[in-house]
Amino acid sequence: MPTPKRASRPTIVHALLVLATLAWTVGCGPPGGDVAEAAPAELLHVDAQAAEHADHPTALASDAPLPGASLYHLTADWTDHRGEALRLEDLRGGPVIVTMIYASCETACPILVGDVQRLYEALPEAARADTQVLVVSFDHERDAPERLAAYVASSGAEHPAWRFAVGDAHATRGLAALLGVRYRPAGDGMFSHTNLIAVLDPAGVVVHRTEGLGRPVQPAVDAVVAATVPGS
Amino acid sequence: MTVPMRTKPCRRSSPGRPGRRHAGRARRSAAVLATLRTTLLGLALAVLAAPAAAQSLVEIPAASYLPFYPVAGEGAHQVPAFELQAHPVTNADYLAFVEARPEWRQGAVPEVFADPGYLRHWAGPTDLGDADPDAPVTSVSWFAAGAYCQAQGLRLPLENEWEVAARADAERADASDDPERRAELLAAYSRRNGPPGPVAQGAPNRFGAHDLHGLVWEWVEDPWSGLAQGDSRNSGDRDVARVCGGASLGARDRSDYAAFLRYAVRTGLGPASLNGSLGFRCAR
Repeated sequence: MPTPKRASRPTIVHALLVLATLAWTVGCGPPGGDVAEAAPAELLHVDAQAAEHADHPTALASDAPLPGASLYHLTADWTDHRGEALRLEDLRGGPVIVTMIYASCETACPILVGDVQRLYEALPEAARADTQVLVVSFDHERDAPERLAAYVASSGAEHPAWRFAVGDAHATRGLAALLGVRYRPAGDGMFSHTNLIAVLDPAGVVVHRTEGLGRPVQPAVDAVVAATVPGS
Repeated sequence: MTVPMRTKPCRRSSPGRPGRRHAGRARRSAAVLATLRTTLLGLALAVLAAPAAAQSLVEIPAASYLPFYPVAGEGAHQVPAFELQAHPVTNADYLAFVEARPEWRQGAVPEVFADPGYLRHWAGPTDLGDADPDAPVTSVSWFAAGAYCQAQGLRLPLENEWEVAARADAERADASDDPERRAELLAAYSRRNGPPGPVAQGAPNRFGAHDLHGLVWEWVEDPWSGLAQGDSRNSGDRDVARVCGGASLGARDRSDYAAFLRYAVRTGLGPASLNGSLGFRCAR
């Protein structure tokens, strides 16, 4: 892979590289020695570029191109309450119900998780078998996977198709913004936040949002069912 | 998938070793040159490895800051000292970024990361055209701005951080209560139509930062927290509360229209939003 050009590199870099190149040319030492000296630096640079590309948000793991609006373009790393690494694209292939909470939340979040349970149980059996649930914490500083595991255990939300996940600050903000969740630390470890349940289609596009607590689940059920119909 | 076979380009075989006659002198000069090479290469790499060298960071001292829209019972936040780029990221800075990162060029960015019109003032994906290289880059989304900063080993400033840096004038660390300055800022904001001019043309503020108000609106890391609801149990009517209730009732100081405008602009943005008077700078 060629090293990309950088247009606004300070002139001093060019000067130093030219001088270094000149030193090589004049040196005419055994080629082996020069290669050994030069290679690590060159490789380091190229490797750094390759690494940047590898974790780029648009890198795709699957063959089929994702729709432009898919959340699965986000390639941030998350960890779930079982301690397993997760990328959003791992959820590709079926509908996904997504919500965001934090573990210390004692009022709104249990209701919100209860709403997701109601929604999940209201799904026709065939649709439910294809559907996964993702609950993301926006309290990334405190909600370690173990803390989320304790939260799952205490709220009776343990289910093989459910994952409670936590990621880094920037990824969490990006996901929240795309879902339409606003949150803000309100002191004492509490957050003010939007209560929102979103439905993603099998390609990761948001196809439904229910905002609020204790809302009827039928619109979300319909959205999940529509997303499971082949060819929809 | 089949990979087309390609013959390796012909290469000259390694040159033979130099004769042994002047081996001693050659070794000495080779040693000197090797040292010179290592030093020069080291210097070059040190500069290359410091991508933030494109522009300097200025130190913003720790400060206490009461958000413009405090939630009920919220006191002042302690904003720790941080570093902020001295001026907005320029078209030239951003061009260097997309040259190194093709996935952030026009046409390559999925709509989830940037609305249509990304870098629309450029002539092409790696062509500034008539855009001033020294002017702030605009028409970049929050995702794009975040990716740029991350590539420099930096991040976007938090909203509270940005506001702390921006309330300084040339002499005072906090000039936000000065009615004259508020009027100046409002006048500056009202001039934001058409492409912004080059960065760092005037005097910096007390912290050494330029153009926090003069040229463009700027992305922050958390533009969506400003008007989050105070009571997490309440729900619905979020947008009404954000636009109406927030503006008229929740504001810390209703006479600070300049601050209101900044919060209103930021809170109206989505993470893929773009416009020609919205740029960014990075922090550490």
